[in-house]
Amino acid sequence: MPGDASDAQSARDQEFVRWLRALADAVERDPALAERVRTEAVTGAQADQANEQGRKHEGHEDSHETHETGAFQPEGVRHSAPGGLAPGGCAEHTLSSPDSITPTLRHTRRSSRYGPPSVSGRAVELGTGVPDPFALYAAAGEDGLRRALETLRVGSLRAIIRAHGLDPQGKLSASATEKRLIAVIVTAAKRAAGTGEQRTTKRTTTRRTKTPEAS
Amino acid sequence: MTAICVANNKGGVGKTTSVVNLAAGLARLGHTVLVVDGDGQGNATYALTGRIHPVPSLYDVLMEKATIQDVLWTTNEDNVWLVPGDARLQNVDVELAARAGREWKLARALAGQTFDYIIIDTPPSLGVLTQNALAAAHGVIVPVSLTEFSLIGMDKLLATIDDLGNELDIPDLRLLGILVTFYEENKTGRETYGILEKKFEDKLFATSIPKNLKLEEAHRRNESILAFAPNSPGGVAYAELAREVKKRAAAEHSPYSRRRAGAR
Repeated sequence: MPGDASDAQSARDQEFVRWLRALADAVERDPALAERVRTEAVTGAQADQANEQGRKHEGHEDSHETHETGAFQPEGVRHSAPGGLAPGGCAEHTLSSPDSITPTLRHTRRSSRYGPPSVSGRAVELGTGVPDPFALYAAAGEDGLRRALETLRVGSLRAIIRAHGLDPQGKLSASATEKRLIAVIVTAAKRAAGTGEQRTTKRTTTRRTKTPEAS
Repeated sequence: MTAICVANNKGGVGKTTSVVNLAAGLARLGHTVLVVDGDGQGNATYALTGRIHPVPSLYDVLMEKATIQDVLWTTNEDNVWLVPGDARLQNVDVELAARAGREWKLARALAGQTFDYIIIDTPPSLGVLTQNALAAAHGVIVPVSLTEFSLIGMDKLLATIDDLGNELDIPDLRLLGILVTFYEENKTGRETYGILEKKFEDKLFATSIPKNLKLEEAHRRNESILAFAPNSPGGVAYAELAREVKKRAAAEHSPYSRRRAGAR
């Protein structure tokens, strides 16, 4: 039935799209995998180019879309890949020999780096929510803390100061610059580390009206 | 608890700005607020935390790899918590396509949360993410900018939301209100507002959000307008909107537990 064939083709296309997205996701997370994929792509493109030139030379100028079904079928690629991401975010699949995947990779550009990062490249060590400068200082020292804070903007810096009660007298003016706010936070973290003082987050005990918890 | 979805399949109408500042406004009224960033662009996440595309996120919740508690963040706003969004959410339509009950993943995940308000940001589409947001919500706020193109799509959008409510069998889903954004006090602005007022009557929020550069500046600072410039026209408007939303939500509120009983 033509309809069945069309549906099957559509399903294969969707599956391939999912696989590509999963692969892209894994590549974004794993620089080593990214390098492998890049190498495969380049090698494949070169090999394919050589093959094509060879075919032309022999007078066989076939169409690039030579699949029997007319639909692209990435041979040699394990189709369980989309659902098979390993816990660490690395794809379980392996790319097959370059020849079998060149139909889509033929025009891949080496320089293509488009795409938003799935994981922030900026200060992942900041953790979730309002960062804890004392923990950051303990883990990365003054320079590390300063570098992490420099990735943040006024709103986040003020939130840290509020959350950890670093300006109890309310001396910081509303127009304090990011540089000034960072200095206040770093000074407080250094002082606390010097005295061995245990800090608590003020927000959880004083500013919030409720502790949201799943029932 | 009241869950509110902010939706419009047109982009650039002020959805995320409204989510962030409405959350801040409700928090300043003494309520606990959870913002759910259901937009793969992750702009609400950035505005509230300064972080870009963090992992894990709502995506992992929808894929049932994490619970809401696993991805619950504090934010730069007191009394506002966040379930962050990241770029992988853009794949959700495809990845959930074949899964049964795909529209109810978020509703199930949010069941039992004890925040006073949950505000859900949505992508500019009516795909699976928006359907999840609608299925989890009691009320929908539709921001609309006062441009001709926005008005053209309004009827279709409201009909679609209504259809989705019927298709998904969400009996308690109501249009909480239509929010005019980017309002400018001039002849065109007044005329366009008049058209909306005549058409939607009391469904139109009395508060309009004016076009105000301070709103954009606040995003750049990762602050709400109520923290950055509470006395600016935008700040005053969002504080007023929070009061109005609270009033409307109280009038139209139906117990969340009843809603969840209908969830499959």
